[in-house]
Amino acid sequence: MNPDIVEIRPGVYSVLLNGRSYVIHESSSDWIALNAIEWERVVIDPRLRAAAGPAAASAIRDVKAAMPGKVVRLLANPGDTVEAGQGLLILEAMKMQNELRSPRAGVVAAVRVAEGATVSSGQVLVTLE
Amino acid sequence: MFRKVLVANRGEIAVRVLRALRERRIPSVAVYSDADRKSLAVQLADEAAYLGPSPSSESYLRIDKLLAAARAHGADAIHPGYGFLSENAEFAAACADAGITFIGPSAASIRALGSKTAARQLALSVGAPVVPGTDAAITDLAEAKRIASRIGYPVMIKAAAGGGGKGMRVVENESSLEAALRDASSEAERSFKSAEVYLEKALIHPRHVEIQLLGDHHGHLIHLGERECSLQRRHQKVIEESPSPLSALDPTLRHRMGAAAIKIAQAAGYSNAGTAEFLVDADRNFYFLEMNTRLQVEHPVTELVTSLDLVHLQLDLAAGAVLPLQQDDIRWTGHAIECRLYAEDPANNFFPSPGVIERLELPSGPGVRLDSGVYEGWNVPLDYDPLLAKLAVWAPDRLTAIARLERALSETVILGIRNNIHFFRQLLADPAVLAGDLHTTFLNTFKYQDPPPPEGDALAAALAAYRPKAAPLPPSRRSAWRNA
Repeated sequence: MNPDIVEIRPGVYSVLLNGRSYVIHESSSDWIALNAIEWERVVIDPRLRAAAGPAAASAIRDVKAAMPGKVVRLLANPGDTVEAGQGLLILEAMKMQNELRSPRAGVVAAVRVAEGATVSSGQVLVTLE
Repeated sequence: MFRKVLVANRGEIAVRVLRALRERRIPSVAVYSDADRKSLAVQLADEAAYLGPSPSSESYLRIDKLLAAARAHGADAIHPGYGFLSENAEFAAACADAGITFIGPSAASIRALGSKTAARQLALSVGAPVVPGTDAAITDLAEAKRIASRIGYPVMIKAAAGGGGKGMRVVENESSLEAALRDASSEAERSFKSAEVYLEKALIHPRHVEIQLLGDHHGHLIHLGERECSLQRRHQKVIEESPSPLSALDPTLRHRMGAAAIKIAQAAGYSNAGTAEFLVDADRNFYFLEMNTRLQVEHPVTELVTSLDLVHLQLDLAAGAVLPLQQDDIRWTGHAIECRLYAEDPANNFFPSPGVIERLELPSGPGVRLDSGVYEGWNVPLDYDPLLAKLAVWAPDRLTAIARLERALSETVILGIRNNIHFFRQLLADPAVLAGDLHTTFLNTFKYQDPPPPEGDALAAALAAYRPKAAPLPPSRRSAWRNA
């Protein structure tokens, strides 16, 4: 069960394990492809794992942009009560509109962007109480 | 033939047209915005012209800049590709006024067909079947409510000048009509500079089947058969194939639809390549939807089954050549299927995913055709459509073609940005897809699932062991791999 690994060219590996052949492509980010299927390398800290699951969503206060884009329309106002999965705003990027949904039920504490604003990835758009 | 041709587009379609120009030994001019200085199109063209800042409204949609570039480089023809200004009658007219050949139909034909409402009226006038709905653009909410209740919900709102799902909304009931009209109209305004929308009855589980047309300047029109594009997400096609699985059930359907498409095109004095889109219901009744007065994204599947090159033919026809083919000359062989590789994240509601492609492995082998606009190291801009490449395959029959496409996808690696390769691998394994049992809302209920995890952590551990430079993980942590 000792794998036979050779580097084919920088960042590309052939792995023979239990008689099976695998190819691994690395990238500079935390993503690799294993037999052309992509995987993200995640470091699992037991303390974080304990916090994951249903409890994690209820802890989210800041709703962030998953990617850069432009705010097309606001769907919620401060003080609104929202359900989990309810649309908060519509973000447009690459000519597509995407509804940003609330990760949990709650009350909107603040909407941190205006319609027409350009936002960057990870920027806080809406804060829940 | 033309002295020099400017390609007024970007991405994979610019590359597709530039390749045809090189094959015809016609000098080419690519255009680019700030975001596209390093594009594949610029690299493959003989000459390149700068248009302006990245937003398309300041670059690829600027008629004045495109014509100035054509003049400066001595181009006597412009190929518009698809999207952007390809279906803009003003652009076609401005080219004609400048003495530059627009490689497509005349401005008059685009006007007659480019607006869906106009095309619909034309279709009605020649007796072609259309989906029940409005014959003109909607002007106010009261009118919309009246019409919607007459034809019955659900209804579809569509942009009169549109395509590609922009400015399109399905409305289930009257209470959501007003908001949907407003959204569709503003999206239409942004995408096509025209806020005109119209209403249509939404058919239940229809198929999308379209007919490829070719016409010369001398009134001769033929069809190249159908493409089935029923697999759509947000009204955007993701997989296209030819022939339609319906053709096996009803060999006359192709020719009946082809005849209807030709009648509509003839009434508009149509020349060059074009596509008549139809919906087909469960009883195989077909309804004309709209005419796309340009080359389609999915044209490769038609090329693969007919052995014709549509871009070469577009060049000949625009230059005034007589179409050298009669309808009976067209033969369809085998099966072709194409998927659109997008920079988007299937695990995150298909959010667009711009950024740098760090690693790119491309498929090859028997029957594989790749039309790509990207390369390893390319930064996919957030300003444009997320289409990276089209992967098309040909095989003697449909199931072999599907297996071949799956095989080609299994050789394809894109790292650095998210993409829909694995989504396609799942979709192509779906029993309904294999059976050819398709409809335009199929993907609304298709559930994408993350792939199963790799065999234990052995591989990950092996990889980490091979890279001594990588810092060892603290004992309290372990590494794992996830796909979401």
